[in-house]
Amino acid sequence: MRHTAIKVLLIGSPNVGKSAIFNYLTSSYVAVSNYPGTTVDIATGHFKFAGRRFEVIDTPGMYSLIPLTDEEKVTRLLLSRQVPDVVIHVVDAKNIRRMMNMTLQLIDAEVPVILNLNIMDEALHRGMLIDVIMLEKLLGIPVIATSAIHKTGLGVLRQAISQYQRVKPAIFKLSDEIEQAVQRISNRLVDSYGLNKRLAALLLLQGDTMMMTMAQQEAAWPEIAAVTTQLAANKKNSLEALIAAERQAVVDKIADQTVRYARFERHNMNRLAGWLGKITREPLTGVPILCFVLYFGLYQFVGKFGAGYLVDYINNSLFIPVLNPLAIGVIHDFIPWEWLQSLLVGEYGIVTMGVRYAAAIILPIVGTFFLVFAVLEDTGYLPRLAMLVDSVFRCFGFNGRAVIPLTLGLGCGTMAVMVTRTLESKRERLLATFLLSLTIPCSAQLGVVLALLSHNPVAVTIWIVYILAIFVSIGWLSAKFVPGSRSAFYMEIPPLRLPLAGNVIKKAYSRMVWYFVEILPVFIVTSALLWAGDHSGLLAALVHYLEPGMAFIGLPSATAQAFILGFFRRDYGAAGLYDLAMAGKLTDVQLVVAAVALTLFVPCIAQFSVMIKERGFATALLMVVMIVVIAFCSAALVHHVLSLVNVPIL
Amino acid sequence: MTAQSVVTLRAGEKARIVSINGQHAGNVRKLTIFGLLPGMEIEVVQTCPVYVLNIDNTQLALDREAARAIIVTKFQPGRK
Repeated sequence: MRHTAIKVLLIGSPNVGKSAIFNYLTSSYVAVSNYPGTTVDIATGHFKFAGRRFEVIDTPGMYSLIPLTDEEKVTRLLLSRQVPDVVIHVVDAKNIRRMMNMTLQLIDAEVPVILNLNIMDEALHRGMLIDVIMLEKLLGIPVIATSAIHKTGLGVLRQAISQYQRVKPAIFKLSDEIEQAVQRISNRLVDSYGLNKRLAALLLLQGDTMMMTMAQQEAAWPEIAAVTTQLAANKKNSLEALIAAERQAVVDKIADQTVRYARFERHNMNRLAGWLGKITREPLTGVPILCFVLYFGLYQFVGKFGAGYLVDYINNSLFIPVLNPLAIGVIHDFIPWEWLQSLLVGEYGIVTMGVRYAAAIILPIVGTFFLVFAVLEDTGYLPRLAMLVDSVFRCFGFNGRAVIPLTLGLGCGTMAVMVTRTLESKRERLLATFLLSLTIPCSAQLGVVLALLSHNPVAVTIWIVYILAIFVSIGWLSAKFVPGSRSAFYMEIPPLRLPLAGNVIKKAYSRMVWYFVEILPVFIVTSALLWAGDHSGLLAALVHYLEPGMAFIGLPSATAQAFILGFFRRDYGAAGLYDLAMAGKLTDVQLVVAAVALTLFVPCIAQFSVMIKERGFATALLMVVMIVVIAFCSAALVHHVLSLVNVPIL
Repeated sequence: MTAQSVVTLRAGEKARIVSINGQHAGNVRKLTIFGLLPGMEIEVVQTCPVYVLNIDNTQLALDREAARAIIVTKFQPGRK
């Protein structure tokens, strides 16, 4: 492997600008995130320096070598199994005291580590002066200061990576008692753990589950376990906290010699950021601000501007009058066969329907949503959102952390189901996946539903209240019946930062591209399938078969088609409904019923496949069956209640 | 100076951590990775809807259950 590329692993906790460093090194862009969970899949990039090739791997954020979530486990495995040539530990310079604890763990592991003090600008703003040369000397490893956002120090970092020479770093001894236990355990370890024996022994003492499962195969396991029990006896704190605290004492000693605080005048900008940070955090001011952010960010910008104005413009001014006739003209001129003509530009044509749905109806909505979400991420607002809703979320068996996948679900359910990996327990991931699939409308659906209903405020209100009621009741019920308890809520609240327009746009853009590349083929295949179904008469038969069901929930038979489409993509179904409504084929009551049914209806094929991947086939299938039943019953309920009460404004 | 839980502190009060109690190894781990270790100084910033603590240069939000596990001794007024 060594002769092909030099393997560089980037590790560090969330919020330290790891992805920004990755992007600089590899000069390609992957989302830079401000909340745990963006680096869902491991990003790999390359760069060349002085004739040698370097492979850089960006890893999911981790706080400690002892993993808590599945994502952190991935990083730990990468570290122990991939045998990187250089490991860059990226830390937030202002939190060096807290983060160096993991640097010491890495040094203990004898990993070839470079310490990267990132976000130096914020440390400087707080008057922190860090003696990098002294730090290098004390730790015995290279230390590089950078500020990714201002692009300073990055060249030096690249050079340090390319010139990295394995050095023998300092050894940081803990108390005699612990060192003796470490010695006794490591003497008995025979297997290879991908990490050196000192760290393996320390991890065992700290109760690391990954290490425990492996070490239980050892012949000397009973003696190893005995050492741990013996050491833990009569201690006020757990061994884990004890070892961390001893390591922290070492860190503090190093920090005392290298970090100084300068006296300085607080900058006005800082005071403003501090004040904003405070009012967005406290419930009295934070909750109104949260409503304000959601109203303007989601309703006004995504709903009104994206789904209303942009969709109208692209669909009604670009596709219908210009692009569609153009495509139809060209294809009729050059292709003589009717079947191919209709496949490309007919009622279910790949161009006239598939591409139009993707580009004109879905893309503007998803694009505006990703833009808003990127701003929320880069400002550091999302963790504040999480802490404000924590007490509400506990009713559903979650902690506030779940707000991130659930909010992301308002953008794209497929992406959101992937991000449920950041939740700690299996139970939370299960509940979140179910609620995402059932109640949370993705931005495409949300946009279309708002566009369908927005001419009638009563209709919008009924839809919102009903979906919220389903969310609350199903969430509460499933939390009640799925065994287990919620895990404790803890989250770092980063300072509010002014987002860089360039970063926000790049991030929103790269997600849009991801989304578009993902949906366009599905839309094309769906169009082709529908065309085939239409030609063979299968579609008509299927629609006919569904008609009694549609009649039961009070919808015209034409909508059956939208629901069949909805199975391929929820957004495709929503877009189909949009076409029907624009043709004036639905009353307001029918629109509300259709909107409710479609919001609750099965997730799209892409989301379903991710559900299978993340939760297993049986669980995913069970969820879909439950969702179809709930959606149908809900729609029937809404239909019958609305026709009984006869709301005058509808 | 008596040891007490963080949940007994009010916003604005400062204290030093004595120990992290917890039945759940996982919950203790969460606190220690954020630097909530015996000997560290904390400041309570906010208590509702969740606890917000300042530790070093980090702001950390915790729910009541997690905060309850942190045992501290309060700094006496006028003493640092």
